Amino acid sequence: MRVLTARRESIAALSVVLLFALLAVLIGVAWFNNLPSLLRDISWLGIVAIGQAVVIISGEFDLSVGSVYAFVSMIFVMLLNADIGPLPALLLALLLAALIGYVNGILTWRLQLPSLLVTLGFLFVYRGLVEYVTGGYALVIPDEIRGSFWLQLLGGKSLGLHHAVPICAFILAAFTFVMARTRFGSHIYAVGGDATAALATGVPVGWVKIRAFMISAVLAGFAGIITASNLSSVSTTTATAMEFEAIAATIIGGCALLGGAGTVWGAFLGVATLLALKHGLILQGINIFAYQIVLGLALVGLVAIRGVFPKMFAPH
Amino acid sequence: MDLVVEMKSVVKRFGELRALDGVDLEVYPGEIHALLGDNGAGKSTLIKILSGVYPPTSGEIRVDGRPVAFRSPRDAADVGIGTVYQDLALAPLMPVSRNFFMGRELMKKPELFGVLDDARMDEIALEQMKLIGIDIANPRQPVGTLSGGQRQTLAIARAIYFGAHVLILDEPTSALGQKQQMQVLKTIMRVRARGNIAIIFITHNESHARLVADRYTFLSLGEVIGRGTRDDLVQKDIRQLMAGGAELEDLKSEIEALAG
Repeated sequence: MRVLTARRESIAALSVVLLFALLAVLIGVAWFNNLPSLLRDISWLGIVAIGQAVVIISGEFDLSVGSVYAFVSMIFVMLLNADIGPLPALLLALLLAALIGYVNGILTWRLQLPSLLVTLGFLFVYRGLVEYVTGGYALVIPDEIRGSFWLQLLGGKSLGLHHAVPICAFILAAFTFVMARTRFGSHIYAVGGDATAALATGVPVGWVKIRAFMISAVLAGFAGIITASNLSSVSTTTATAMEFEAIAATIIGGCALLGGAGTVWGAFLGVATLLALKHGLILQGINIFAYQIVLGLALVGLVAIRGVFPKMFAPH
Repeated sequence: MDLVVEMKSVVKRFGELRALDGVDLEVYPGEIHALLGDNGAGKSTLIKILSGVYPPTSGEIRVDGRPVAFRSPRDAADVGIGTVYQDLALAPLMPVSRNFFMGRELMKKPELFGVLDDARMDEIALEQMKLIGIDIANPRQPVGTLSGGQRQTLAIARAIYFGAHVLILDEPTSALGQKQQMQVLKTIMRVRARGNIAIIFITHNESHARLVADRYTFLSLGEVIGRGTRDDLVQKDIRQLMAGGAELEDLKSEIEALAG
């Protein structure tokens, strides 16, 4: 019960419990039949939000995650089409993602540019590249390799459960541990909480932030890759506006907008809140375009509730 | 008695501005040395030179009798000079013990994995803070929940634990309420009672200096305008120096003229 009150994550935890219960009652059996695809979608966006949370806790923003998700998965699919084999394609695409994160980080730190600006720029650059290459169509993974071991591992399904779910669970557990129990995690909180203090006490502030951007880009790219493995295609509009969903989820999940506080599992609960709403709307037969309205209201509403009832939903 | 810090004829120019114009400072081991002066007197410049933030234009600095030329704050820290600035270098949302060990975390073996040894950090942070007088119950509470005086104590305890035997305190009482100020002064006296740590206490509050300091140096416009031991100076003189001495007399007659 402790998690439902007096923590930064409380509002998201409570929302998830109430929403899942409410929607199960309202929608009934269709809600349960839909659970595998809801869990899959939560896992995809959840992996992105974990990276976003690391960046936001470090006191920065990464607006490029949606475009990186699409761009890295597009490169992955192109490499598969070039027939270099799934594993080399996976590793090269992840290496590219790491490089993208490094560039975001180095520009933010070395040139002291606001990350909001740098990553907004690259949001356009990578989206532009995806649009330029796909030209409004979809790139598909060749039929003959769809059944291969690596693509099945990343995008397949066992016992009714998409593999994305245990993959995301593993990443969530790993980053929860890293953030709470390791020196790197402590440094992330330190640079986001007070960069001057961190610098004065010898924390390598720049390198910590660069690694945060690399984690964010690699996780966004990896989420894109497992999505492509599952859907066998990437298109011009893959993951558009995903950066906003990820940031909204991270803030709903209790991460401090200006850094220094929050958890990756809070961000994950934020994702579960938003996507439960999204799937609920679809299953209720409501126009999917209403989702943006609901997302916006949920973001402002839940953060407002936290402000109005600090005893219930904020740390003392 | 051997001096722990000796600064001789230290000059610092910033372009045309002479921030320090031949300043001497002598700090004795285990003593509290109050550095007094109005805003712009050069107190900050002097301590920034002594803590390695920037080099003097000319002059000599000795620590424990050996000449030093700091190129960075790290160099100053290496010879045992610890500076606690007004902003304290604390992250308010983080736990007390994580702040205590920020940048110098203790890790479980093998250290390669970077897994923190929180239990030991908690224990040491509490113990070190208790040594100089604050007893907090929970080492995991965020620093933001501590009082101003407790935060100051945390920053001082941290500097001492990481090897400072010369502790520079930059206006430690200036941003605090009356009660908190007294707490900090008590902390300073407890540090003094340990006997092996010299304290340079920067302040513009002469009554605080009078309460705790063994020696004084007064700065005004980059020059030393007075110095001595506790016994040399009575309160009246201090106040006179702080207010700018003769300038105060001038001001008095000007005010009288205006009122007249």
